[in-house]
Amino acid sequence: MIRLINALLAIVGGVGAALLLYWVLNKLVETFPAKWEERLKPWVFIGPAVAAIGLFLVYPAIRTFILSFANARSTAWVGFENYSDLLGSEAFRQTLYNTLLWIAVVPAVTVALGLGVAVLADRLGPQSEKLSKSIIFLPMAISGVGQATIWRFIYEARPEGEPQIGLQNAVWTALGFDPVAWLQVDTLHFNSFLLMIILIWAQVGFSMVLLSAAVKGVPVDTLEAARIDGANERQIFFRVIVPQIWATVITVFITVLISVMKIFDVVYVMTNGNFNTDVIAVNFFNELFRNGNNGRASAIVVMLMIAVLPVIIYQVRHFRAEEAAR
Amino acid sequence: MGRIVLEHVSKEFPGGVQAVRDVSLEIGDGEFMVLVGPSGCGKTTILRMIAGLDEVTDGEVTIGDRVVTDEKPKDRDIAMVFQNYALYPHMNVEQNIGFGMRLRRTPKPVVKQRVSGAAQALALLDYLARKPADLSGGQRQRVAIGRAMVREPKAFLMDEPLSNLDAKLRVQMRAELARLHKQLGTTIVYVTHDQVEAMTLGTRVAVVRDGVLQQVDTPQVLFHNPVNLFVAGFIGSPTMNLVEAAVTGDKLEFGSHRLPVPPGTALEAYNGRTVILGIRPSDFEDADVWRDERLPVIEVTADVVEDLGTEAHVLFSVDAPPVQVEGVDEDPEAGAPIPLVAAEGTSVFTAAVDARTAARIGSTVRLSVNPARFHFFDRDSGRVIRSRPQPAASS
Repeated sequence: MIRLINALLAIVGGVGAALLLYWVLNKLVETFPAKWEERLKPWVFIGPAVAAIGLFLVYPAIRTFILSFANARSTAWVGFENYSDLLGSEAFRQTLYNTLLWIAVVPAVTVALGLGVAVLADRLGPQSEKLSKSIIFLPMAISGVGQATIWRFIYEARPEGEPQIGLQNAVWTALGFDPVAWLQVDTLHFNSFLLMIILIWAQVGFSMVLLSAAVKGVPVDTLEAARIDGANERQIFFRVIVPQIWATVITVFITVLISVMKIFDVVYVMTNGNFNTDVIAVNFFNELFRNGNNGRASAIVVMLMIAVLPVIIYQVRHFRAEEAAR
Repeated sequence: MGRIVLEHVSKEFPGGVQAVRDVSLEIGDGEFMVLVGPSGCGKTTILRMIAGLDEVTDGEVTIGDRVVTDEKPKDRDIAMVFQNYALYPHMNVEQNIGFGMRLRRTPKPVVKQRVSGAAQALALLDYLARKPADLSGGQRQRVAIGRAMVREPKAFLMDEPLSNLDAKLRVQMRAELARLHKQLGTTIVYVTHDQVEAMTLGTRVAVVRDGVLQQVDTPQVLFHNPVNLFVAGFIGSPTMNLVEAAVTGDKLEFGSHRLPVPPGTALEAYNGRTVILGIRPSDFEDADVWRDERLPVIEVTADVVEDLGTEAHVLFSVDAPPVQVEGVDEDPEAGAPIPLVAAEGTSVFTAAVDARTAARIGSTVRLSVNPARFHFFDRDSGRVIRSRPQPAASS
């Protein structure tokens, strides 16, 4: 109860303070000559936001970049040692490889499934369409840790002889096989794929919602024109529908791609990067909080940042081009 | 052979909406058949059933000498031009026109040759590399027509192809369509709500109302001999003046006006009853400009005078109950607007007279009218009362 009141006070106080700040600054600027007032006023309102982002995002990013050239305790410069150590280590290369595997599989599969569901749901009646889309969207509403917890129960393994409470092992043993600790099977990165399924399961809803809106935006008469032009359903899909929603496909792909590059919660909760399932973000987390190696951890995120950057630049450009084409 | 035959075709949409009822229509090879009617009358559904985009609930569709009722659109050998052009936005003009041929794996040189042939005929050669978004409305329309042309189909189906163009372009494209039809000689089935388009383009025109064919004939016959009130009210611009008139002996009475019953009219059975009298605005004339001594004259007070330059429309009230033809006034494009709201029991008449008329608002105008051109309709059935009695009027 006390906590609740505290939280409410914090919200009211925070919002109030922000309002007060704007009000005071605004009053202050209004005392300036009209010419200056006009010039300064926009800054009054975007200034605090810019300052907040600078303080909590830009400064730490620069600081991280600098620390990536220092040792584990950040007491001495080591040059590129953190980077060369990382890239020289077999374990980190494996981590990179795993992350690339995620990148190669998850965005493509998520877009493909989302598109499939969007197109198929479009053919259902309005009621069943709403229902099926709601169900598929539901995982989006669960936090990453929650999603991972649900799937832990699916992949759960108990020693032979005990009742299998994990869905997959329950089915597996019912078929007459011995129980398997699925998350420890790293042959051909099998366990990594099991983890990817979780993220795909969670993201298909997002992909479906955007693509479904795009599919509905495709003018029906272009489909009919194609039908008369002699196209079969497959040709209509690939040569008339998909090209018309291509912009949305790219947007969804990139959004999922970025979240995949930063994937952390699912892997952290399920395996904590063990059994050869490590990915960059989990690796970073463990370097920093478990091994206390500031330098290495910083170097890892700097590499991640550099890898994400071109994707984000492409996304912004794509978005702008999209807007311009409108 | 591009003959299209509909036999007792009906369409009921899920939910029980009966869009088309028992339509039988034969469209000859090379004919330009226009389906016209107010919005929602089922004309587009008829077209879509010919195309195979809508399934036929009942009846049979024949194209050429093949029954195609259950065949897919692509197997019917027809091409369609849509109201919103339905161009593929991600393809340029060349790809749009050639898409159908590419789907059929037509050899590339043939595709190229036919596309440029169509582009030339439609003055699109300079735009082949452009995307639809970079074209004007008229150009998009021509691309849509080009896409249909290269298919060399048995028939073109056109769904209000001109309705998205501005008035000037519409007139121009109308002429181009007429020329194209003459040049290609292919059967065209053309849907429009604009009776002017129907009259100017159609070899024959089918008037549709509430999913039922009213009359199928040449524009001239529709204009001069409408079979019922609906066709009479729908065809012609400005619309036909319709009013209830009492028949007493050889006199017709409506409002304060009395006119002779024209000879040869089968109105004997209606003596002492009321009929619906229809007079085309163009059958009036200002008696002070053109005086034909043989014609009777009525005196009216002009409520509105619209001088169009070539002719003038004199609107006047007649003190007799107006005749409502359901569906006619709903048409947004139906010729001259009727700016006056008729008071209860008063009809608004339009007379199209010579522009030299001296009629001004509020002035008294003497209008001569030719009773031989009167149209009479039965008040209950709305059917025309023919000059010579016939056993049963066709619907």
